Amino acid sequence: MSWLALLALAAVLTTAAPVASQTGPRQPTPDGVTIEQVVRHAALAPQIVDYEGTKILSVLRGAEMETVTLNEAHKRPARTRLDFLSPEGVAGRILIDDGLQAWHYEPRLHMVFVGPSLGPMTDAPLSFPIERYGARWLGTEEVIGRPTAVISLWPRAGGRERRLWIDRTTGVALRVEERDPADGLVLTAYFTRISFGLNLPPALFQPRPPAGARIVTQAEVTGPVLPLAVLERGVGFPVRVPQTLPGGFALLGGVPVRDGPVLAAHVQYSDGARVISLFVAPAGRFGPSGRGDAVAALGPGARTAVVGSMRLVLWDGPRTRLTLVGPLPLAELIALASAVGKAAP
Amino acid sequence: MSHPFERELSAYLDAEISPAEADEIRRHLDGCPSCQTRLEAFRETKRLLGALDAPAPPPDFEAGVLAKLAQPTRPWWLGRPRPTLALAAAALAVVLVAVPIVRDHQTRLRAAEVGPDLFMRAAVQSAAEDPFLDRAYIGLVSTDANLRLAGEDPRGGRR
Repeated sequence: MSWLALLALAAVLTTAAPVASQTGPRQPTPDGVTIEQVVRHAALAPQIVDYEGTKILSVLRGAEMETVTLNEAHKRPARTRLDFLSPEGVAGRILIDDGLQAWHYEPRLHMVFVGPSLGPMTDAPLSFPIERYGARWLGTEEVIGRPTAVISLWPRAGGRERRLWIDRTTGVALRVEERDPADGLVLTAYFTRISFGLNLPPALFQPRPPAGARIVTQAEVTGPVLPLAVLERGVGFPVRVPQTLPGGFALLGGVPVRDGPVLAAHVQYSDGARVISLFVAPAGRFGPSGRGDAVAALGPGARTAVVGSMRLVLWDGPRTRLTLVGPLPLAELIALASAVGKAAP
Repeated sequence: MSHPFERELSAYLDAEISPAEADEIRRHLDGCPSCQTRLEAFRETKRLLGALDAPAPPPDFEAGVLAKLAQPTRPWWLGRPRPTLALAAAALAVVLVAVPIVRDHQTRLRAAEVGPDLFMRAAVQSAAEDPFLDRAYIGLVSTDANLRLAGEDPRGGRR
């Protein structure tokens, strides 16, 4: 499918989405299209093309970058297969996600973990709120011999910059970089080879548990996102939430999360593209946590952790263990944590 | 504040909760006679359990047992001397009380250990609606969390 045909399809789908047709970076690029069109084209690409390639992923963990090599296969619209190659600790790991269920095989343990899909197909690409982002055209570059458009996106409310090297033919991001204002480069992912339009066989995305493998079924998220009052009744304890939110974010609702000894309320906030998660659980169910780094601003026992794009802050409120996870800078998550339980100004 | 749970009172007595939680329970106790009574009962139970000694058997205990074994006429427990029965009852009481306390303590430690991984996995899955969040990154974080929740180091080696 050509670049122009894909753009035309993206334009049709974009027109169907009410949010998409409002405002956005209309700056024209040297290609004669706007940045908004290029970004929407990239957001829709996984629903339009199949691909298979080798990817290098580098992720900040604490103070160090970890690099992982894997084969990534994608079949439109929402099937993904990851075969991890290196380092040795992850080699042989397989993840197959069919858009409904995720299946993870760990060869070292000869175990299969079955759980909910990691990336179910939604209408998010259609409603991607580009008007809430600053965008800049950084030019064109070749990545593994393919011409790409290089776009920089950053939330207008402040936060992490994301650079995308978007394949001009297919719209697939061949390289992604995320830069945090405080930590610098926190995530890099790029293909070292890729093949498109293969119409990959469905069998590649069919989980086949090896003989004798132990199968562990994970606790599923119990139902749709609920209003807070319903969520409180479901989990059986009060759910305290922040009264003020970062710019552009709004409450989506929440779901109960259960796994072994843990029962928590998972409250979600979104600005249309980024999601912040607040987990509230009775403190009596938790002992002190030794993970991550201490953060004095939120009291004794408060900790923070960094895993690539995501930041985690956990702390104790009155009779409550709270955990915030999101792609915001740590300082913003800590400020949000401080607002939990306080009255709105 | 509503009445604290048994496990919260237990954790309060063992100083296994944060200072903020302890303050809140203390404030509740100041105005709640029924919880004061529950706390005292808990404290007394723990004190008694802690004060239990294992009584030494009488000097002729072993010879007596062997002699009784040679006379299989009555049910074994009817022939037990009273101190032995008391010791067995005390041991059973210790087990019945201590096992739930120890198990509760272990459960809290386990929850504290796996909680961040469970929450990180759930958050990353929620964040997957971001069309530009790298799929391989989501896969790596989620599969690492699966292993931690199973008590395994994601990069090899038993935790």
